[in-house]
Amino acid sequence: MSSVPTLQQPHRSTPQANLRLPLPAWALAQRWRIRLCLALLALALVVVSLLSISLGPVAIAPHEVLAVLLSQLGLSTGINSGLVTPSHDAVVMAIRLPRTVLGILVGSALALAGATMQGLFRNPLADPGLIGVSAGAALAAVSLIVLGSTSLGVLSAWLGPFAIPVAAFLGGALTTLIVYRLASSNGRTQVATLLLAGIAINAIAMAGVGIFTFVADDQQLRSLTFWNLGSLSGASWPALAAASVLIVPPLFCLMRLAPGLNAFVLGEAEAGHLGFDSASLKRQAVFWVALAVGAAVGISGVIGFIGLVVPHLVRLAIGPDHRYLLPGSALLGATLLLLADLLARTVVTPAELPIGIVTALLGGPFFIWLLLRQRQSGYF
Amino acid sequence: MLLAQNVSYSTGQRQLLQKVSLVLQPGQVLALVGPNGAGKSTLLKLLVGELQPSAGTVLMNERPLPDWPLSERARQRAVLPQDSTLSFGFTVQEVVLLGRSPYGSGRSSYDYHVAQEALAAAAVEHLAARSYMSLSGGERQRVQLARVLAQLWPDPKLAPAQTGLVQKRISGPRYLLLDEPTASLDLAHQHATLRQAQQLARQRGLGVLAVLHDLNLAAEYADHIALLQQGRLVAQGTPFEVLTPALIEQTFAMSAQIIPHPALNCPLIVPLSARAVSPADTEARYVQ
Repeated sequence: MSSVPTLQQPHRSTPQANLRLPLPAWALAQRWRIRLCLALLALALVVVSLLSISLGPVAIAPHEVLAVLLSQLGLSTGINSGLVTPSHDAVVMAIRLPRTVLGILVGSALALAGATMQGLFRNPLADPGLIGVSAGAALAAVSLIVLGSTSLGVLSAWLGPFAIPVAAFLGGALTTLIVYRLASSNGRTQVATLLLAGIAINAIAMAGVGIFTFVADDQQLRSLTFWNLGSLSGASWPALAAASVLIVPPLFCLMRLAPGLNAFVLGEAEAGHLGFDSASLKRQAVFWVALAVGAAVGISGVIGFIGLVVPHLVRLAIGPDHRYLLPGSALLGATLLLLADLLARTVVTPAELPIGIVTALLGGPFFIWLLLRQRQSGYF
Repeated sequence: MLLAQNVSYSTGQRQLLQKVSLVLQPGQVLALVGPNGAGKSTLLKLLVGELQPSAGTVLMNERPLPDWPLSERARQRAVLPQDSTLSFGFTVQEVVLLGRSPYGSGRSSYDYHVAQEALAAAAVEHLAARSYMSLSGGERQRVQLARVLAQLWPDPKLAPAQTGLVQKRISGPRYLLLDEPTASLDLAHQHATLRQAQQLARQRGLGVLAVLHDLNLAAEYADHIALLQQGRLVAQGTPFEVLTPALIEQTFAMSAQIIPHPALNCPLIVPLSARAVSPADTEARYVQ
């Protein structure tokens, strides 16, 4: 510094003139770059969704997929009517479309929850599972699978195919509540304690899963594998209806937390100084994440890495501003989960790999590459 | 004015503050000094509303702090934190823009304009496009100063011409609270920061409170000094009134000579020797 700085006078222009100032060039450039990136992410999601519907044991060309979708919407015209065959219509409507929609819901929920948790914990390694929701959901599902024929049989009989998703959702919500209670005293929630309590509760829940795995019979073990490694094969329209009721509202509520999460980047106290209610922000973030992730795990099992890796990727492209990071993560999470599912069900046809294996196999090495790349720049 | 009336604060067994009363007048620089653990930061947190006093009240412009809605409070006063690390790599510009969060979206073209002026005022314009994480401690401190300046920047929506809006958005004088603003700064920037605080008080009528360790900086820039020891307010007054050999000996366990500053109209403290600080001195305050 050559000179000691002094206070500048504020501009003497009229208020009206001030209000019509142009945006600085860097802000305009940044804004357009972010809009372009988000548009590209949305486009990628549309393309991958079409691919996800058209690829499989019965290949249906993308334009035929569009024809089926249009005819379902009652937009049957001379151009597309000839392309719709009953068998294709059945495959698309009964199998591929619900599975694709489920992939979009689960992928966006996991990634958006991951971005929120990383912002809340001010830690780039945070994951939606950190507050215990995934482990609690898995424990509930696994105990229902193993004990289903005994004491919990009533529940299974009553809820039918929804028994396991519902139990998983409740288990996830309950564990999150325990973790949150442990970290709160006198109405204040310590973020560091939240993290540590989450780790402890996770360990306990996973020990429970281990016990049930130990006593399970062979058939139960196959079902358990589903829970620990995840799959989108549970997609059906009724299941989707239930999942979307639980997942879609939290997605929008989480995106509204973006300004507060931006202030959280400075620190919790600093966010308070800037006029944000830190306590309410923490409560809302944990609640909506538990709801969305609990429902996602409930219907598709535990799928790792999407929540951890996707926000990092989006930050690379559009920066850390949560107002864009959150929607960007939702879009990319959906796209990547659909791609992983596409791999999982086409690589070893007619069998199907659990999707968690695919996300971990691709996500793990990728995360290491990210670590090495960003080590130089000094932050994640 | 920002007023603490007989505030006490305790956590469990520890009584951190006992019946402290403090007045921060608009247009005035008040330095809060005292040995480590005297309760300076706790008092600052009470004045800001980050902590609730276990007894007593804090009033801002005659209105109890808890009655202020959070966003309104944030337009009325800003806080410079002691040290600030970011969890994610915002650029300097984006950090300063966060200071505009209490004003609607915080991203209007006027907000960008304010951020630019605040960057200039804190002499960090040249860092604008840099990543905050890549800055040195002193640079970060000055960027944070720019952020709090942006938070208190005069808002055109509050101009007297548009009186209808004025009353709703801001009521009365504003305050700037600085928690050890000079901690990681070099000599020139220590003085620059405090001179700036002084100008903000003089020119814009802000009430400025600064937690300081350097008594000579406090003597030079503060209109009033409040001296804390073991959670109690020991003295409050002008630098000449508070910075006396007896009070310094009593609170800091240091003998010192006070001479008139050769160039300025303020006292100059020359520390002479330290009395051995007994552990009992620092432990005593935890037992009530």
